[in-house]
Amino acid sequence: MSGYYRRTHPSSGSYRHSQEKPQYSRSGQYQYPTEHSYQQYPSQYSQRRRYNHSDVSRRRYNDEHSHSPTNGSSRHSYYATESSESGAYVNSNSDIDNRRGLSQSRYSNNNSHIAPSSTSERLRTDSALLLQQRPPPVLRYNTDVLKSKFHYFDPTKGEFFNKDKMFSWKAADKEFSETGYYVVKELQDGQYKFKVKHRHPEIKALDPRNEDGILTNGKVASHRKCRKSLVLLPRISYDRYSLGPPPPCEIVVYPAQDSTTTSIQDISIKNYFKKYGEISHFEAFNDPTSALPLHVYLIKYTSSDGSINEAAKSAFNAVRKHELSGCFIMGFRFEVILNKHSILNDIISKFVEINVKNLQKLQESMKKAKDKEAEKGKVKEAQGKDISLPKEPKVDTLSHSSGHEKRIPYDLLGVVNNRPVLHVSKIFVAKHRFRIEDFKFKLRGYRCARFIDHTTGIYIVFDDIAHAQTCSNAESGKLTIMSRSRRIPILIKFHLILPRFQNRTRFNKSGSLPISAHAPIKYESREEFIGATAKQILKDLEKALHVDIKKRLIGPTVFDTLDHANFPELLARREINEKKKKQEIASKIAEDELKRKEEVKRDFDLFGLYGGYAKSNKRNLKRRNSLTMDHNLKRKKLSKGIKPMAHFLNEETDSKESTPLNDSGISRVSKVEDEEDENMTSSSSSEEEEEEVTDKKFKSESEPTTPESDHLQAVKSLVSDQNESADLLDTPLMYKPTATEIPEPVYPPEEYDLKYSQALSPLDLQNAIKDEEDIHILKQLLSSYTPTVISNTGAILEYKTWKSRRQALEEQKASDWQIEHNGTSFDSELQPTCSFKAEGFRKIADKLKVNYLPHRRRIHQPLNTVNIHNEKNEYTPDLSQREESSNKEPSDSIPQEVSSSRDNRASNRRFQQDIEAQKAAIGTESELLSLNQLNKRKKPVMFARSAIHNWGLYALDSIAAKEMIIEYVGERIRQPVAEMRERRYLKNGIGSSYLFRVDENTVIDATKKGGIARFINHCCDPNCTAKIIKVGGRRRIVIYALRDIGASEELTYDYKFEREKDDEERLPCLCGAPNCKGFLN
Amino acid sequence: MAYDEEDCRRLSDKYKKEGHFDKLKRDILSNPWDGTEEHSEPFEQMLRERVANTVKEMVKQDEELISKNRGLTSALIESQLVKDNYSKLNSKNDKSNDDGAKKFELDVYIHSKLQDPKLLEMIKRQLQETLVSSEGEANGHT
Repeated sequence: MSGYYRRTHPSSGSYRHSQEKPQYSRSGQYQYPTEHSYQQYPSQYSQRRRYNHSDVSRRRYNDEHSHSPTNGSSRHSYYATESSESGAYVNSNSDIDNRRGLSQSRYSNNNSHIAPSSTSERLRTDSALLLQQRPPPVLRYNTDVLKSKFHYFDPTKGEFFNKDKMFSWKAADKEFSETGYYVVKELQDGQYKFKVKHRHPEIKALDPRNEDGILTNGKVASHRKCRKSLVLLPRISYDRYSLGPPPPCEIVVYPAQDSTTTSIQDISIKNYFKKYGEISHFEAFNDPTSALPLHVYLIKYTSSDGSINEAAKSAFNAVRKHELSGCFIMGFRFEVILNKHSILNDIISKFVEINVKNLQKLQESMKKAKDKEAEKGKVKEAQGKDISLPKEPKVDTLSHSSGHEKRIPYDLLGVVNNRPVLHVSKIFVAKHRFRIEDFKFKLRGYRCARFIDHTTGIYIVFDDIAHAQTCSNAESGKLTIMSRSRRIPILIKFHLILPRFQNRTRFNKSGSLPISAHAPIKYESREEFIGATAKQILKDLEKALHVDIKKRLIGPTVFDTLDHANFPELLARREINEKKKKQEIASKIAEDELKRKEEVKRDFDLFGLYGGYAKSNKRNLKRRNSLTMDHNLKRKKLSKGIKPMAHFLNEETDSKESTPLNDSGISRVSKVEDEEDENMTSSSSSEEEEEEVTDKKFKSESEPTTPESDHLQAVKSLVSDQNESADLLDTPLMYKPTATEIPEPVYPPEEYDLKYSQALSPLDLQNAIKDEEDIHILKQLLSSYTPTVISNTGAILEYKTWKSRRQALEEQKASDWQIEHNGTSFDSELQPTCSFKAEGFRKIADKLKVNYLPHRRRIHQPLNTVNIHNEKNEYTPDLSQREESSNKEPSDSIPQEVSSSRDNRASNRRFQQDIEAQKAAIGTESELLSLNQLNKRKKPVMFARSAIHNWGLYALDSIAAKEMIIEYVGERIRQPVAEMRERRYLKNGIGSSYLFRVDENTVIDATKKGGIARFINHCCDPNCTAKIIKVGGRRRIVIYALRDIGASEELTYDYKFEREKDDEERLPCLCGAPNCKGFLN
Repeated sequence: MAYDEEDCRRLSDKYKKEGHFDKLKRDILSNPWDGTEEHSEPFEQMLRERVANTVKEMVKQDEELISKNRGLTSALIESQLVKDNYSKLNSKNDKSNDDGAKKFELDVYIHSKLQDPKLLEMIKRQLQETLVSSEGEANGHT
């Protein structure tokens, strides 16, 4: 549809013509055009035009001579007529007329409204009168130029100047139809153009929706899908605008079957349904007649914020879950429905009725039973003796599928212990590969005592027959477990095996099975009864006696008898023996010491000064190491290890036997290989053993018995007998044979041996000669060589040797310290070649400085000089260890227990919340008294000079990965404040930025006030990361460990600064990581 | 009137409650085991002595018993003694006692004691009393 196009009137006339003859009355005439023939024209233009071509009116106007009294009214009335044609102006006319008084009304008088023809004459006279009163108009614009241009009206004549040039648009212009036109925007030649279209009022409008031939008999081909079924609409939440009753929030739980021999507690029902939502009201109903519980419960849900939707949802969920199959609580089935239309009362009444009926039935059956019994009794008495049939236990067991009665296998009898059992056959179980866990899970609602997996199948033991029955009734044939072989759910049937006897005995072994009476025996006469009782009592008495004897008499007596005090002689003997042994051992040690000392003395004195004994110690160590192997083997033979208790008593007899074996074994060995070596090993091992033995602890708490020591003595004696030379035992440890692959020199290798490149100092040469043998060889070597002695060189030589010696010592000291503190030896560049002063000033590269300056080192080397208050770092590494160790070595220390586990935190949080609630109740400021939870999770960290930049934060203990370390605490400020501060700090010269963004509106500023987390430096390869967590509703910044961090390791994280465009703004990164980006931003 | 097993049990319970049972037990234990002599010790005492002697013998044989854990060893020894109807205790008699052929056989002794018909009669009598009293009570209630 195109829009109408309004055209403004080309000329609006406010013009004034001077009037020559004020006699014209046009006022009246101008009413004529309100003939309403064209009133329906939509276009304003046409309205106006209408006026122009209202020849009729004009003619009339021309003919008329009567004027309205108002001279000027012509022009005014011109307005008036114009105005009168449009609806709005009609009113103004009437208004004006009302105002008319004797004074001139600018607008035509009231008569002008009324039907024109009749009043025209009157009008003329009136207007003529009016005109006469006014001064004649002065025409000013009737120049030719203007007249030709404009559409003026001649007030004197009462007509348009250009009247003859005017014509009806109707006749002239064929473009516009008489009935009107409208403009349409159409596509023409690829362009949208405005077209004028004729209006055809007679043609009825068509519904465009029905065009294009789609319309057929009212059937609209809609593009909507035909829905086959109802669409599930989402539930509309209930609020104050909803109509209808609120959704139900209550559910009714009632038992499904009639087996209401339930012993369920209400609380278990309540707990079961708690999981669907918060319960606001829980009610259990009792039978009004019998006051027994009906096990019908009404549960009303509520929600924490009071919205009914939540509560309704909970109720709905609770019902939906149990729609298909009822819910199982403690082995009994219940139905759950919503309490709509107060269905609760119906249910209650139903149950009451059922109960009443049951009661009636019971009463009837009781009556019948009594009658029967009475009859029976009579019969019995008539007959005399009677053996009543064994009463079947009142149960309705599921029939066994197979004909024979299932029995519990013998080995399970003790376990089952006369309790009801549900059995699933092994074939079945094995076929589908069921496991006990499946049954445990499925039957978790029942009170099963035990699950037994046996070769004949799976047995589920119950303590109570009732439980077993309910379980089997409910589950057998209904329970399905997913088969592992077939992968479909399989129905399972249980076989109920009832207990055989009424009385449960504790020891249900095979002996007692046939004994206890299967059927209750009846005693007719008193005497019989009493006799039987007496027999029973006797049996009990016997048992009791035996028990008593055992427990009260024998046991304690034995215990008391074993007291040491009873055997004084024995004890005395013991002590003497032990003393002897101790003395022997002591003497042995003393001998060894003496020997060793002698050994030392034998060495050349000079070399002894330089650490002969030190070397022998090392030798000892090595010797020990190589000997441990033999030793362990020996030990295994000798130690008894774990034995069954019964053999414990026999042990003593055995040990005595074993010793001769060992002895003979050793003697055999020593006989066969009568070499020094073997004897040495045995004797030395015996030495070792002896020392070990005294440390060994026995199982007994009393004095350690040392059968081994006995054995050792025996060995010793054997060995010592055998060896002829006493020297063998006395040879110093150094010379004793070692068990190594290749022959080794007796003395350990020296440094110069290992490093061939180093020049030998005279000191080294001196040290090379270790004993007589060496001197001997040296002499031989140098015998041919005659030294040329220069007199001058004597002193210098002495000095030089002394100097070199000193230097070597100093260097050794320095390098030892360096290694101790910094881990690596000096770089070759740093080694002084000549005197330090003589070297002059030279710049040492940063890389080298790392070697010896602690705060310059790379962070990847673990820091070991962090001094914290009282703690001194006593970490002095072994030389070999250092060489091998990587930088992350502390992480393979014992993994520490996490100081606060999640559960601890949760309980702490709850505790804190309680405290806060209390404090709030008291009314004090909670902010001040609130405990900062995050403080508890803080790990021990400390700040110290950093390798990266200035100060850094170091971990005091090792920290596991993903652990919270510390919170970034500072002033909490808004974004604009942060910006301002940033600028201010920069202006003040604080180059470091301690502003940490929490969210887009908040920033934490630790520049002036904050925690020590502000010391954490940046690294491109960090070991920590920052996370934002909510604690107590507030956002906080927390530092977590990305990986395991060793003790004394510097903590770093990625600052994540935004990338700066401006290259000058970029800050260089000093982290030294292998994947360093080079810049912080 | 017909009685059944349960009544039996109930009656014996009542009987025990009245203390007769324990008294019997005590009597048997404390009675002199040897009916002939007058100044012989009660059975209990004898038993204890026997046990002590046995244990001492065992220790003499094996001195290490003492040094071991006392609780364990005592339990072991106890079980050994009780085994085979107190065989160990029984046999000791032959060695240690000079008195001729006084056999100390625990189980035999007890057995004999229990088989005593007098004992049975006494029990019966007491039961009778108990029964009467209990029935009287029952009647009183109903």
